[in-house]
Amino acid sequence: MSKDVYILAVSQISVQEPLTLDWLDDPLRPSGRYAPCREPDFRPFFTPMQARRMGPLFKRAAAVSRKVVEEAGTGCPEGIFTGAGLGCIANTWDFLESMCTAGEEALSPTLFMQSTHNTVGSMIAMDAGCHGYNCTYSQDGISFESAMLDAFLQICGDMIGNALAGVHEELPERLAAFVGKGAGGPCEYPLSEGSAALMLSGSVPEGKKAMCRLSDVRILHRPSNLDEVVSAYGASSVLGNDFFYSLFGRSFCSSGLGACAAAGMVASGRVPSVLLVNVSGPDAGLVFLEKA
Amino acid sequence: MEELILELKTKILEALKLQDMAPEDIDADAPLFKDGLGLDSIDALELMLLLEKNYGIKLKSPAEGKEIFKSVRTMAEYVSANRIK
Repeated sequence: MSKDVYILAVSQISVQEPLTLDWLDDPLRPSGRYAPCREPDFRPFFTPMQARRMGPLFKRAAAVSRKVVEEAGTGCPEGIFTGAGLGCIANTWDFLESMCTAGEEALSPTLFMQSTHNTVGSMIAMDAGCHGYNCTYSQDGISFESAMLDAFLQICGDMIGNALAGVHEELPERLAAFVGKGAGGPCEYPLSEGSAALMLSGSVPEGKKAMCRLSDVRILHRPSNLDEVVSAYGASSVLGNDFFYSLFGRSFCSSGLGACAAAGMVASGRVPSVLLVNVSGPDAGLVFLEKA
Repeated sequence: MEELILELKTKILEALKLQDMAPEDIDADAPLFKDGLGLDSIDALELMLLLEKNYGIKLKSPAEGKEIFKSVRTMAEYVSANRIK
């Protein structure tokens, strides 16, 4: 794996100020049982006709994806790598509920079409006009790292030149009590939701500056020596689940949002390198970022 | 008829999630598809569902809806003549 991989741009919608990392100096600390996203104004992104069939999840995912593609200056991404632990859970829930109440008749086609895990990745591809590789990973809390690992390996292996990676989760308050428990983590942090997108590339376009280098992505299953593995990286900063949860609440996208924040920290010179350690159930996802 | 037209407009906006539009923004005689409101084939299915849920009218196929869904007025006329609830 000698090829350099760079993070050119990141964007997020979470409990923090959306579509920016300006909040890094003075972040919110979400509290309570449930902390929803702070929605940006989506009107600059979509016409009313485009937006009408998009739920909150699609709007967020498309907005952060468009933003990183534009900022990166790479043009249409060559591959789209999406993490989605719960997928379009609100539509899934509504569709199943209507199956119960309507006796499996008179079911909304829109809910049916948009109730699968990979709908988000497909919508991003249609929005970006990307006909390339498109894969969605639904590995609960390790979904983001799974998507990043695939993108990282494909760029390292020269299969693609750049990749749009991200993780997108929605958790309407009405469903938080039912489906949010799976997000794991200690209850002192609120259940939450969010969207994170990162533009990865094997090269830096002329006139652009990389935020940081993506030096490694690893997923370990039931690691017996995690501490040793972590220390072997020699990272100047090691950020774990408490870092993600304290900034973004508990969700399957917390580590992805954490990666956006960490990329911002490296880009702004706060730290020269960050190892993100996301422990989720039996798995540990590691993402290593270094100064470009 | 005008009352039913207004009711249908409201239900169409709700069913198709046309959040930034009001009933008065829809011309009762303008085409619902293509040049008019710009609806598509998925919307046609949603409109079929709207008729079934609200008025007990079950269309056999989307093709049948072609004439019915020409405009809000044609919808209202069909609903008025065929509704069972």
